[in-house]
Amino acid sequence: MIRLMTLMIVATVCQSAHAQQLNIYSARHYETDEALYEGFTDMTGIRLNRLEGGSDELITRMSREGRYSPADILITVDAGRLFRAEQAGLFQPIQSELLQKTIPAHMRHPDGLWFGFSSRARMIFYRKGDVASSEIARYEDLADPALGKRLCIRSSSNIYNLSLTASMIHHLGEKAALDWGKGMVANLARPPQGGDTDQLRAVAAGTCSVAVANSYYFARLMASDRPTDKAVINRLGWIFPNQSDRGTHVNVSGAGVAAHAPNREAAIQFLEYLASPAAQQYFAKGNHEYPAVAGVAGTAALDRLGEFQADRLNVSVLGQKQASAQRLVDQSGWR
Amino acid sequence: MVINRIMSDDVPRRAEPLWIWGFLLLGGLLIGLPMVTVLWSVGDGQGLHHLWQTVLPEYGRNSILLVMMVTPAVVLLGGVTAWCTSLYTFPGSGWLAWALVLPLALPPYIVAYAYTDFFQSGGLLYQLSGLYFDRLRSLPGAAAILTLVLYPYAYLSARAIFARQASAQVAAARMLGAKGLRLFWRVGLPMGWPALAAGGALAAMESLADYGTVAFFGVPTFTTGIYRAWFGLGEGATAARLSACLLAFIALFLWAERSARGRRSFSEASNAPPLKRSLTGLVGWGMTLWCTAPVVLGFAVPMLLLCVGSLSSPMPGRGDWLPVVGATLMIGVAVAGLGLLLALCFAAARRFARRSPVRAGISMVNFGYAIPGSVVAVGLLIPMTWLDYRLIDLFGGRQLWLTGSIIALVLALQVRFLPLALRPLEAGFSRIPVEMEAAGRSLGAGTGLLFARLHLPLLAPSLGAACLLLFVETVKELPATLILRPFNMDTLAVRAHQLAADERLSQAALPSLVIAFIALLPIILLNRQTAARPRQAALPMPVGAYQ
Repeated sequence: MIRLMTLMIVATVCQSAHAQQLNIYSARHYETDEALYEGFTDMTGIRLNRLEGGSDELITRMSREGRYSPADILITVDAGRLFRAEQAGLFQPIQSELLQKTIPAHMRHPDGLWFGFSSRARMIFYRKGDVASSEIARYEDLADPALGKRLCIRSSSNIYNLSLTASMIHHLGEKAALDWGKGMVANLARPPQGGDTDQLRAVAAGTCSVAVANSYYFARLMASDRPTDKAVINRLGWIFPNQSDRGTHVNVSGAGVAAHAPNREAAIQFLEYLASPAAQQYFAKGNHEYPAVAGVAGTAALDRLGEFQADRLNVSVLGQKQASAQRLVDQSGWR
Repeated sequence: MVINRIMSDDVPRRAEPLWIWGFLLLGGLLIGLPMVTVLWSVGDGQGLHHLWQTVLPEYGRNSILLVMMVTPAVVLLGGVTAWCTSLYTFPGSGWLAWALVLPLALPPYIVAYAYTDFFQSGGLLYQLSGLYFDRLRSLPGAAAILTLVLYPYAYLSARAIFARQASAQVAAARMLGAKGLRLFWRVGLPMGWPALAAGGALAAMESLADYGTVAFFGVPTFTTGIYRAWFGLGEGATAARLSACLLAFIALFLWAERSARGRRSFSEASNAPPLKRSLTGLVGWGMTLWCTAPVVLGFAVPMLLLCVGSLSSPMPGRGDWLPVVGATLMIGVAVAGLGLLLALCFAAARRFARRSPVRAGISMVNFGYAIPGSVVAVGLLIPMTWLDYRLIDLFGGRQLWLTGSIIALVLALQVRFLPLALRPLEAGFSRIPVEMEAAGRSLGAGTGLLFARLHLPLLAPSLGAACLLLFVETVKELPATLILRPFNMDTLAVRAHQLAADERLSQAALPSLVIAFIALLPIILLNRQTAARPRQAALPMPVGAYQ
């Protein structure tokens, strides 16, 4: 036993002494990740070490580790989390012409602290036949008393809902956003429960008529071979909200270079690799997300959903308004 | 046992050797460190105010309700099944006595995944019948899942009492005409009470500390509140205060359990198992049904669902599960190895210590089992990082030796699970008569030699039990592993959690199933050991167990 442990420790130390490495703290874990990371190692010879976990745990751990943190890169799946990491001082600004050029301005931090590499839309889904697609065209309509108690949405503690609320605060102001929150609570068909996929299934099963979910959850069901998933898809229609005004709320999966990165150069190299067409394919495909770089094709399921106009609000605002959003949802009674 | 205890107190000994104080200090440090750091963290408490205004009352209410639902259900289910299998023979009673322990192999969160996937719209039930049930993700749902997985604690402790000690009383009561429910009410319940209270307390603490199930069901409890304050709002101070509240609550609970047991203890006056009455016909089959239900619902159905789920989801490619299984086994072995060593030392220190404060101090280790894994993890992360920094100051470089390797994780799991190992070892020590020690000493053997030649061989079964328990619990553990594991090291529990959290439930089935199989083997071994040596209950009660 002790021998085994000694061996392991020695092995760890030897590893760290040899070949160049890059340490990644990642909140992503998809099947295409292997290919994504292998691509980088094949290209540069740099070996990757990974620690995968929830964004919040990773951020807390990095903060605790402080200036000796081994992390070079932090990848999270939400702008709100990128902001939390930024606030905790976990990122350092990097200058990269390539990233500036390829990543759209609203999807990266103004000072280069982090960059979004793929995006997802927060969409509205409805049960065909129950709701006419003309009834709902905007997020604001979810709070309309005319909808009645027919809405399913997951808990407000989920970060996607916090980010959506933050964007509402930005666009409507605190007062109107609070009314929006209260209006939605009044329209709930059942207390919030489960994840986004559960809301989609609930609509298909008739528990409610309208639900809010991220685009990739629906796309996953579209790509699934299971007959029950297909049945769900057939019953649902989708709406990209607010097409006539500001555009649909989008969020990003993004990454930044750690403030105390031991391998800074390799870290920048890695971010630039993520913006390459090949990596973009893997990064976005793993989870049916929209690639950040123009000209890279999405998955077939995303093509079926069609083109849409996204809200051009810089996603860093979602993080800045997150605390207000948290207070607002608590006040509105949205559990 | 009682006699041994009295005698060991009467035998005059020298003052405690230094090493006993050393272990006392180590024990205090081990358990105390996470708690002290958690309580030490200071802040402005703004977050606590916000939480108190908005969600804290709900957290508290949910936690209390959960405990109030799970504990009586566990005591009742465990107590009655133990009574039935100890006192009666009915169709299938032989294998049921054995199978009733099996739900211990499944972590509650995995049972929750399995049932949710089954009941949700689009799940197996829906495919078969077009029906679905989406209210499982609720407080009663969480209570039901926890009850199904935790009742074996009460069952095991009660069975040990009924099967070993109840024969004379049962025979007398039967002669006086008591039978059926009345016999259980007047004899079974009072006799089994200390054991049932211990099992119930254990289930209550497991429910309080549970993170996986309630987080998955979206039922906000104290534990998820601590998690949210720390990781969501980034407020260590708030999380610390919430943890302090939880610890106070747990201390209160332990105290209540002790007073519920009172000073009752039963000596092993009769070792013969009670004469079993045979039940046939409708009554017999009814009892079969009653005792089969918990095994079916708590073990067979979830296992079946996991098998179906594993088969219907795509198999993972590129053999990337091998490292995950490897990491799981390695952490399990490391925790079991170190835990065994520590537990042996603590148990020995307790055996050889004369003064009761020393004994009480070492018993404090038991408290660790009641601290939620995430609290232990965060409580250890802070002092360990501090130590890491001192090591870097000393030796240079920038390697975080403790938090960057499995050392921090292994230590955190010691804090959580050491009580599980301590219990069978203490029981094992108490079965070694002091006369043997005296004889050894009179032949000139010192403490070291006595320990090696007398205690160790006699403790072998207890050591095996302790080792297996540590291993099983480590394999099942989620929150601390999630927070503290080093690079490139996912365990099966972590993998299952990640997939479930990402709403890929059917894909989570395979890692869950592997956890169940890994945990099943030791449970079967332990169970056989208990059956083979009815007088040496191998499966122990970790906290406040019966005397």
